[in-house]
Amino acid sequence: MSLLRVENLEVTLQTSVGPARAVRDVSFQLERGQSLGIVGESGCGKSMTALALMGLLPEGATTAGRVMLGEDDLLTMPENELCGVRGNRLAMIFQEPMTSLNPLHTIGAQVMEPLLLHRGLHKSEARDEAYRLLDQVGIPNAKSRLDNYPHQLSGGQRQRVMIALALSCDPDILIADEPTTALDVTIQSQILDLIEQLVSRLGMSLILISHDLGVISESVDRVMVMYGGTVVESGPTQSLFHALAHPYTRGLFASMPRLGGKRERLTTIPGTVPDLADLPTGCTFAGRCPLVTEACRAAPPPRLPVADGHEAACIHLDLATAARPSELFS
Amino acid sequence: MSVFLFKRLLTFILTLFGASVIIFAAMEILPGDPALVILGVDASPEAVQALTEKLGLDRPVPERYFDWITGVLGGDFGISYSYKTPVSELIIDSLKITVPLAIMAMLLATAIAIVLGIYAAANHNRPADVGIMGISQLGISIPSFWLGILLVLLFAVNLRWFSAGGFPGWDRDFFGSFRALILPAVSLATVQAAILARITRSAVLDVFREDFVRTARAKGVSRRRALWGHVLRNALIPVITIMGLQFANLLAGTVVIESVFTLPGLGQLVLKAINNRDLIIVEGTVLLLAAMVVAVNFLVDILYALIDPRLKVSDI
Repeated sequence: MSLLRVENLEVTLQTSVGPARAVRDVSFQLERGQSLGIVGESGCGKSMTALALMGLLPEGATTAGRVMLGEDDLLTMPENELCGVRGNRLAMIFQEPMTSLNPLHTIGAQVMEPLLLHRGLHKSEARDEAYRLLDQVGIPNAKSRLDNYPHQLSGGQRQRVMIALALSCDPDILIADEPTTALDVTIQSQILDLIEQLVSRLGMSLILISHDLGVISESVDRVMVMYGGTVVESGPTQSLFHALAHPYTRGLFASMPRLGGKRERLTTIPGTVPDLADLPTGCTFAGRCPLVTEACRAAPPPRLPVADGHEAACIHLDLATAARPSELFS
Repeated sequence: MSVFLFKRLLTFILTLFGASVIIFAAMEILPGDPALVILGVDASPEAVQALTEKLGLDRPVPERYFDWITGVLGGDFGISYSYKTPVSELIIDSLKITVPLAIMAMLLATAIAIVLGIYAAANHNRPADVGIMGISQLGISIPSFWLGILLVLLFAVNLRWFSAGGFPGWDRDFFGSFRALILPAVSLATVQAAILARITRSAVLDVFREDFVRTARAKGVSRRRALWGHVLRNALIPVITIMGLQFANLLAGTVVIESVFTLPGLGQLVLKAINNRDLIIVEGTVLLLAAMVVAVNFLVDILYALIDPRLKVSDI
């Protein structure tokens, strides 16, 4: 049985212009020790998917579908039981290390909190464990850092603290939501390496959320590309990057600048992301897709197989794969 | 920390010096000759002249300011023209009423406001929140003197639980004195509590939306634990700022409320002194009121540093 099984997940947010369908019909499975990457631009629903798994959606949000962690459905689990899952079986690292730590509490106190909460350690044991965790994530002088406040640490160090925090109770699944976006380029790869290394050493599963295709291609077993709140393409990393199928994925890939490439204009996907409060009835990408036909606008596209375990939600896959991405969007 | 304290102390002294100059200058500009007020309008010009000289009011302003301020620094606030007693004695007697009254009102306001504010925030957009905010809107709109009169009508005239005014004195009747301050303290505290409850509510709600609260929740901390363990201390920073500012309002409010309840406090003293052109009392009491406001804000600054570790390193 899969460690995590998400079935037809829907998230609707309350906004001033009415309900916004932030996540629609998202399904995926995650096996123990496997890693999954979720890619997409801002507002595509990737963070909302992660927050729905954690049960930490903004006030007023409603969900539908199932999120099965083993035998338990996290969407219907009572809040007090969910508190026993968060930070314990399911942990999360956020994008903003600068604001993700409480400015008035010491680093030690913040790392000790989940240990006291879930593992029932005594204060002194928790402090020793916090020291070990900080040391493990590569914080120099970890012992003295325990009594430091977040403002005394750099962004990279704070993200290391966040990692230590998330790993403190040996979770089954670690969700990393853009863990390197707010960091210096030089620090980014260090942090990613650290996450990958610890995840594989401790045998946990990873959900890595990023808008950076490069990061995703190097770090995960499976990739899920999201657009307008839904999954447009998913598959094993190798297969997916070998044969990009969906016009959106192809466009996204073509718009990445390449070192040492020909000096030419970058490919761009014209238009903007659809308004989640006013989504089209058919394919969400129809408004920006060069291959759009009447059939695309009529009904949501079915998920069609591209290769083994690799599928894309597009009815014009043959046309999309035939053209070169740069030609597709020129 | 020591740099922080030193800077604050320096500001404290400079503010008081500035205040003393302004107070003294304002009293000089104030129309009405003290000698004439003391002797009455029918007094002969010679008598007025003689009294002016006796009071030393014919001497140049800077000289008189210097005499006054050096006296004040040594604890000597001068002799009242109208009471013929040392101003410091008059002030100490009236402080025995005003200080307990202000402290009672502030404690009452803070206790009510923090409880209601947190409760409203924890029940955001639910009936309890809407109800508390409605009541606080009413509380803000009611002038304290009018509330004082209503309280007197209900609790003193109809129910006869409290006296309508006056003050027996701490030495004579401690419990009675305490009781005499309850209604005035409630009237003063109501407006302050209403304002502070709103500030507390919005501060708590703001902090609840912070990333680090989400982190705490992601660790498995419950909403309630997050409120007490993570939100509250962060939310205290704006709440304490407003409390410091409110203290000045509260002191101004005591002047009015002491009139409503005929309490011989600092407010009454300064009001009578202004009517009598007893400038030396006015100068002393207003300077003291200013010092109290500045001292409370000094205390607020120290509280900031105690709450927020970031303030100890950054030079503010």
